[in-house]
Amino acid sequence: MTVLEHERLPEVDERNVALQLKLEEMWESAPGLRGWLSTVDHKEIGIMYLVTAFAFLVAGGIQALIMRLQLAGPDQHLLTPEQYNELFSMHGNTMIFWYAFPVLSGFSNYFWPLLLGARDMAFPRLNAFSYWVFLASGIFLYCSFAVGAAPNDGWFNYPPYASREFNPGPNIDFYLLALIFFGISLTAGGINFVVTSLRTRCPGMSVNRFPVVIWGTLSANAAGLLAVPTVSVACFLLWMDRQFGTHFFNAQNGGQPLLWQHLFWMFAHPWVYMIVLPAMGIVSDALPVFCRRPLVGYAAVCLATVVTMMIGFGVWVHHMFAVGLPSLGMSFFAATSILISLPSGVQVFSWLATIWTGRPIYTAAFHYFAGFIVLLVIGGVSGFVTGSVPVDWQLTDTYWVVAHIHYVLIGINLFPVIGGLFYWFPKMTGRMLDERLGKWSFWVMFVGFNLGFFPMHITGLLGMPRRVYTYPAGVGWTVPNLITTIGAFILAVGILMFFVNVFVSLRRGRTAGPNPWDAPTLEWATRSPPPPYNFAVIPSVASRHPLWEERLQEAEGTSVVDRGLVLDHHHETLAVTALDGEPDVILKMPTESYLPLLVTLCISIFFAGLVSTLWWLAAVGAVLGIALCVAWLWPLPEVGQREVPADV
Amino acid sequence: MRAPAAPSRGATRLAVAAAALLGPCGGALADTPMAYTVGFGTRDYGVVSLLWALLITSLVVIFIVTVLLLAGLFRRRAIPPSEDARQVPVERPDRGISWIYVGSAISAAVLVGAALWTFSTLAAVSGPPVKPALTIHVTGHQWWWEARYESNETSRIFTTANEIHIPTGKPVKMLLSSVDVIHSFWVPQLTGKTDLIPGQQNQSWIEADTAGTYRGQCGEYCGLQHAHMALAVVAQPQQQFDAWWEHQLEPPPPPANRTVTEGQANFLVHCALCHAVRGTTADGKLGPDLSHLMTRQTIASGTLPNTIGYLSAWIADPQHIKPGNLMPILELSSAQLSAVRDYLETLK
Amino acid sequence: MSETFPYRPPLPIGSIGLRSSGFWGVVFLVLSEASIFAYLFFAYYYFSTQPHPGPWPPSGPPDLTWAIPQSVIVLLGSATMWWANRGIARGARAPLLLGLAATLVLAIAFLALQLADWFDKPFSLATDPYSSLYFTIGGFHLAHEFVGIVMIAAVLAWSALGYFGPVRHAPVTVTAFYWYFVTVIWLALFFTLYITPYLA
Repeated sequence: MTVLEHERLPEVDERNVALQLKLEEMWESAPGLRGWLSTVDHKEIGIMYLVTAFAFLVAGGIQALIMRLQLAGPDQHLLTPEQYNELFSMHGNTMIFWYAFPVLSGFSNYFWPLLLGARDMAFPRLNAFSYWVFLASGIFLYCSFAVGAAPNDGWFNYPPYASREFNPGPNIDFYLLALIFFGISLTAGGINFVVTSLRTRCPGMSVNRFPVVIWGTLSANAAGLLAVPTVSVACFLLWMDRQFGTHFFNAQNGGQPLLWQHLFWMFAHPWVYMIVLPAMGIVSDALPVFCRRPLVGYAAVCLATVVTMMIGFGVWVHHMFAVGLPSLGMSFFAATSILISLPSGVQVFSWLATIWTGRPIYTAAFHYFAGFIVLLVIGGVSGFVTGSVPVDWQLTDTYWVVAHIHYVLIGINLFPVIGGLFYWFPKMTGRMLDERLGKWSFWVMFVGFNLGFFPMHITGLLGMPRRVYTYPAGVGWTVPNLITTIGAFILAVGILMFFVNVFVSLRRGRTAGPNPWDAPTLEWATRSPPPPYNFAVIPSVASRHPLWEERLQEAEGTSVVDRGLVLDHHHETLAVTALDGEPDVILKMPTESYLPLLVTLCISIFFAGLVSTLWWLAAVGAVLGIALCVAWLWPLPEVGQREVPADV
Repeated sequence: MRAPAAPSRGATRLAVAAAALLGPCGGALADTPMAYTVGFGTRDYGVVSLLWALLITSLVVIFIVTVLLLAGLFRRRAIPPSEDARQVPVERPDRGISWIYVGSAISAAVLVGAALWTFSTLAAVSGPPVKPALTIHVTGHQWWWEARYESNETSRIFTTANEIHIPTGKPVKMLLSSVDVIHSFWVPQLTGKTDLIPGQQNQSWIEADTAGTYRGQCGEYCGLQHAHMALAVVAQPQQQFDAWWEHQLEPPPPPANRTVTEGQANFLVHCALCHAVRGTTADGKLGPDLSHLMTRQTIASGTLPNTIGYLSAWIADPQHIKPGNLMPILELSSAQLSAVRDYLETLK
Repeated sequence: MSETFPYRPPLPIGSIGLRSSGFWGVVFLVLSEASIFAYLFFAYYYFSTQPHPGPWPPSGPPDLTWAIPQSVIVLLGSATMWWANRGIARGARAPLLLGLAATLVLAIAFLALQLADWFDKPFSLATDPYSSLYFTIGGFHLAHEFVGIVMIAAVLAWSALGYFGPVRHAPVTVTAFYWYFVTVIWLALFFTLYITPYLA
């Protein structure tokens, strides 16, 4: 083995077949199950995230449909109160945590390196790890069903009802530990996305040339690094109260139930922006393709994205307007909560202007994006109304809020996600989704969703509280509830139609070339699906729309995709300077490894020990996990982490 | 927290009337007792008009955006729309950015206006217009409401449950706390929610202008029977309210026949650990106070009408009606059951 | 036809100093972990500003007997760590090994002093909210300290195996940065838990 060079002037060359074959062999994953378990390829990890997130969507959806059957009429006995409470809690947890963010991570994982002109994320093994922890933490949560003790205090889990005195079983322990477990995935992913966006890009990819989805995901993940620790701390403190009798939240001994609410909402409000801003970024990138023009006001939209995320840290008390806080404090948070609508409005105006001044192409994806705009506005205004403190005293904890959260979650997350899949499915699989079935599924989903959730505004205004397993006849809630139940099932049919589209198109969809939509960004310069190494030569960019440059005639330089840095000495990609995108370092990327999966298994053992109070088991998991982490971090010469003596 | 001036009664009555016409079921308000698009209390009026303003603003925004979207989609263009992106050329027209400026400016104005209106309404309804003469201490339990009427004379303090009476036209101060988990006091047509949090005492106030019975319900998830934790606020003219208060202080009549005597004996054995009846030796604090139970319109915290049949069914099997609630199944024989029920029927 | 990359000096390869991905990664990890402590301190200050039946802390301001030596030791540990990192940056192995070994010893001493302090307390974990906070916040720091000890031990072993040189020693730099973080957190904890009761 020779001394690993400390530096070199990398070669520049044209894209050629010999190079592609060499890189293919170097970068491809092992075949079969072995490959999936040890992969560090961001594209495979992205697909794993997407598939798993959709599995959780289905689970949460089934829970919702069962609840809607119970609520279809007054005084029904399909479910016991405990069953209903566990269902609504698991539905919320599943959708808000194990579906909404991972699905966006799936897109981001798959596409970030392609959009940025890189060969992989900054930390490939950490990437795989964040997926395995996401899966393991979800399985851990669902084990609660297996032992008949699922969480039953909602997705925000207020004590004292969540304390051991009122909830003696392991239900809440599953919730608390699953969230801490999941938080590990979020932190790992957050570090990966932030460092990747700052480093692993191609020359010329300065920050003002980022696709908007990069801005959205970056804002979300950077915020996550600061917000996720809050819920981990809160969950840990409550778990301590439950296991060891500490006095953080139990009122009898001086504990503060409201401290939980502060800590939880200081996390959860930023979280709800984290689960929509990347999706809004998807629309900001894909919608203009179907309007045949660049996005109107790119800088305003990116700024609005970042500002929304930042203000999102300053609104949490609007979830606590009824707890008896002083008016002055509440007024401040009412102001921030009302004003946060403004940057979102900027994005809506940008999309409307792009449509108005562009030439719309009525693909299935476009249908979803157009529908999304309407749903975002409805969800946005229903939130705006709750920002007004005395009005919120009526609206809070009623079905008005349920309407709001579903408009913003399904409208601003699910619809762009499905639209994004219509857009990117050809790139990921080399096949087109069926357009006609896609448009039909849109209409069924759109009608079903509005039929299901618009009446909830009425139900809420008529005073129906949230989280009630039944309601009496004669108070005006019966008819809207029945309509909602019908709408929910129609929405489910629409989603099912989308799944059918995916399964059929995977086999028999029309073949897609590299750029079926004639889109401008770098991922469309690769094959469909892209080769494992993404780019045979590292492209360089001179504008936001590399593939539209010639036609738009705006760039000062020229983007080049078929000629660039070769970087074929090993698993290599380029790192650039953070702001301007000048080449900085040749990064050596690790190859596949089972360590991410193995460390995840150790962490799973650790949490299994905690939830069953088998402390020895937890200790075993911890010790093994730490040992495997040391193995993972063992300096490898191939990756340039240590010197290699010349005489070996 | 004091209101600078009471809202104009005339204007608010007009708002209420308009809201009643526009409100759900157009005037059949008895069918929607929990709707807060109308209000009957001083604390509600400013909030109801603000709510309607925000609702109408929201609908207008939705309408405008939808129209702009549809117009943008379907307006005539030089190149007709296509379904194939590759057939349509790419270009960057010079227009578009003004949408953001104009839209943001209008939005900002609306948002600031909403914020300012919010602040003034909040200031107006935070505190009652005049110092309340009456204070009621409401304590939340899983899954019922305890109400203690405060007074300067100790002998006039009494406790009742689930049905609160107030005099019309006078503000009433509510002190709110909980013995177990977080609940929320909410009577939509009189006031918005204020949480009942163990370990702290919150304050709220209500004032009803019109006599009647107003339905409330717990507004914070509190466990298995959160769905069945309703309450009633009965607003009466001052005279009737005073008479009601006097009546609440009275002890029950002595048992008039053997069944009632047996019933009282059984009650003291099986029920008095949890329930209290003023003027007797029953003084349990774990369950609702049952003094003058027959004057109440509902039982089980608003779950059932207060009739012989429902009362019997409840005592026989409370778990069937409110599964998970803290009243156990008592294993009474049917004779004991009738006797206890007959005794309770005397608690008028 | 291939050619070399024009106009720029040669690019460094792999994990080199502050340009290593690992360093960037640990920076953001530290940001996230520091937030944990920020929220724990928030909880502490939230409690301290609530009305109490008695004084806060209930048993009076905490004893500084152990805490002051701990602070000295933790600062010394950062100094030895800095010396080790600087040593290898100049290619000197002796300061690297000695510095890491000294830091390890100081870290273990710190752990021992912390446990001694805990055993000396008149209250236990479940006594009251203050004690719950005291041990939990201290426990979080101790856990981070423990992870740091594992890291230092590993880097010491790798140094002894001759893995590092003047160009490639990113694990040393990463560990040093993490160690400075643990030090700073201790200082913030010392101020919050030990000093503010005397100031009130």
